[in-house]
Amino acid sequence: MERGALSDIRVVEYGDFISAPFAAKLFADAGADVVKVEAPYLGDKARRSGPFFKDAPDLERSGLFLYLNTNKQSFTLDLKKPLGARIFKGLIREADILIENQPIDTMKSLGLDYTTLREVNPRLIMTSITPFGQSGPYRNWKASDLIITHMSPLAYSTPYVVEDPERYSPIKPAGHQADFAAGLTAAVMSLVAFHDRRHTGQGQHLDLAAYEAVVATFASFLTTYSYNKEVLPRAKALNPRGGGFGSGGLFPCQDGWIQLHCGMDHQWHNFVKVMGLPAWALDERFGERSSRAMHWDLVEPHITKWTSQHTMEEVYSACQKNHVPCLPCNDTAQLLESEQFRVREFFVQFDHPETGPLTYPGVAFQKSRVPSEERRPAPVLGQHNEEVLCGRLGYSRETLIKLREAEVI
Amino acid sequence: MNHLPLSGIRIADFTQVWAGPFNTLWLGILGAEVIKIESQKRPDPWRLPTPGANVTAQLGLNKAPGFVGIDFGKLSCTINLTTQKGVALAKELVRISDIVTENFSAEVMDRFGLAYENLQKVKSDLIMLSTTGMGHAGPFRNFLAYGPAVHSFTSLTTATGYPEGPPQPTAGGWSDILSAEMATFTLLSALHQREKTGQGQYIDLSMSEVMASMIPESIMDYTMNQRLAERVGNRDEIMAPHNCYRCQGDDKWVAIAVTGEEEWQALCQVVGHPEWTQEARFADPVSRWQNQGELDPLITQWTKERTAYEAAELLQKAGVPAGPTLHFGEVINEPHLKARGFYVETDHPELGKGLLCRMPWRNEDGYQGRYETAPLLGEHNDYVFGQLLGLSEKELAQLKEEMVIY
Repeated sequence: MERGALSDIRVVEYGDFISAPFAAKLFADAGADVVKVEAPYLGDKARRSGPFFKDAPDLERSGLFLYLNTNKQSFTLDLKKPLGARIFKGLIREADILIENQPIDTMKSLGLDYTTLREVNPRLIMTSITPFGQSGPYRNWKASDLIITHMSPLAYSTPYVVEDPERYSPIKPAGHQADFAAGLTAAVMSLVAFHDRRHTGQGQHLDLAAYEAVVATFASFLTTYSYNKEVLPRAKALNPRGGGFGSGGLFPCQDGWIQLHCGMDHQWHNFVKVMGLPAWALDERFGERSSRAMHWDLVEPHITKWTSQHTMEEVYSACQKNHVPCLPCNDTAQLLESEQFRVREFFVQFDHPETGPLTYPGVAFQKSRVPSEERRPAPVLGQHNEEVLCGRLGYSRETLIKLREAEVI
Repeated sequence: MNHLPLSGIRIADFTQVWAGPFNTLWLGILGAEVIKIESQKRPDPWRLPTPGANVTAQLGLNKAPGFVGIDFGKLSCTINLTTQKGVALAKELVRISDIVTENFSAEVMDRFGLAYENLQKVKSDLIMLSTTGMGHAGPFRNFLAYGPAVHSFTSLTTATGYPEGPPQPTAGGWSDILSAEMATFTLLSALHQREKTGQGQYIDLSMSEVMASMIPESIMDYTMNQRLAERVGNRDEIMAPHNCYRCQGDDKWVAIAVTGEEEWQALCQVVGHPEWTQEARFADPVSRWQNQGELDPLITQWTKERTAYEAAELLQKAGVPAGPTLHFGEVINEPHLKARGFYVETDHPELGKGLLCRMPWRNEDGYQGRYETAPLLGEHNDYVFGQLLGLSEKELAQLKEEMVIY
């Protein structure tokens, strides 16, 4: 998208950790005006989560926070104090979208639920992210990335098969995949509501269950199950297919691992050529897609033997040259050094007062990358109090000082 | 309410398999008219049978249930893009569309003569989105990559796995779907921009960049501290216990994540060992984290006597985050998802009754989305070429005979 595509949208974020902050970051990086409301002294939970710059825990040195809050303004406000809640309503009056991921019923207990805020601003779009949503038997259940991952098919399918299921439980993918998926979904649905508002003139309250956000990513496989009722066991001995699509997987090379896929027949035949047409590969059970997948357990040891004699680059270069999907397993350092990402200028520098210039992942949607002068690093806690309170909401500087003394901001 | 947020938007959709179709799936549910362009020569490969026990039941191009799950609510027309007339027909369709989406490997649209530069001549304010594993620039621009390869390239695979074990692949289509959702956000932004400026644009989306934008913990740790991620299974960097535990039944597990002292004390009560809170090896978060290898088997003593659902409910009642580890068959019967109306029944002409996933958000008072079943290959040829493009029956018949509409 063009730079600043969303520059006419005003977002208020009352978010903690990953999901709501990531949703608001996507808006901020696309040019929207984002005010992040944080609790005085404590701030967003991500400020207290690692990794920390030079391993020194500090509210302004969390790499996770720094990444998730680029291009935002930080405004500290104690919403438990009546005056804090009133100032918040002032902020909402001017906002298009509120994105929050507070524990269920928190907004209600603060007197800031949708029914109340709609009266302040009938055009407000309020996006609430909770683990299980505002309704249903688990509405009050607590969860985290781990729990959501396990209750969706994500953990059960990571990895698809293991030698011994008793020893190797389902696991979560690295990082916080469920939290990020929820945040991405929240950004999409908020923007949909913004489009919808042009038809209706009205705001709406959107209820996102992080659980459903992750389950929905498996739409194709869930519909498949609804028709064929087939559960694929995790035990390798009972599931010859291996990978979920069949005919693919990770293979060891001399210097690391590669990911290979031969699901389509032409890919398989090309791969057999890449391996030098070994006799075993001409077995007719392997020639056709379904049959190959069902006999993948027989194919795997042969491929392993072959890849083990080569480097990653030898294997993936030869494969790609012959239209076989294959890529190396990079570690973080290799990813950062990748020529592909360098040429596309994906990684960007942000200069934050506490850390100096550092390399961050960029945004995936920018048509032309954002020039450095338009990159604002994550705010320090309460950095924009004066700007928001006096500039935007019209309070006097004297009031600002009083509010600070009363620990409202 | 019967309006939909994207009513009036038309999409010429050249996408296939997952990363493209999941994006247009949502746009279709939201009211856009999504016209899938395929051909018998080049059907969406996701129409092919999924390898497995019932593969023969899926033969033909209209019987793959996985296709229904990700392509429902769309229209299908068939154009043979290897013919000149076919390319001209595709351009006519683009002329009356707002958006073109495609996720072929980088040179394919070019080869058909359907690159953005060509299509923009037909439709000046066109928005076009290309999704590929690596993006349309850079030395790897022509590399083929499915979801799992993207996970590998971006280091997700290397960081995932059991402690001291090799890298492990994340569920296959994860980055496909994240890319599709990022594509949706990007297209909605581009539509907004078009409204403001009257200009369309070309969007070159790289799945690898989408994935890399969602693993900042390990990337920032490296750029800040030059540390490489370790594989930790289900464990957390600070919190413990944080794992999944064996329960009654075949391959059944319950996940438990204790995030603070209160939850730890509650857990000890529930499992009948309040004395653990006093033991030096578990008393504080740091000791607990260091000794989780001892703690996990003790918790299993309790979980293995219960079903995963029983264990999760008892723990949640006491305020401890927990949940059963579920496979597809269990997720589709999940009482909470059912209670929230997450699944919608569909009746497909060749497959019969099955379930579709709703979009994962609820807006009680607003639009409700459109849930129609998936199209048969070429099902809407007459509508698309006759009604939309105004071809006569005779012209249609001739193009079919020439295998242009094919």
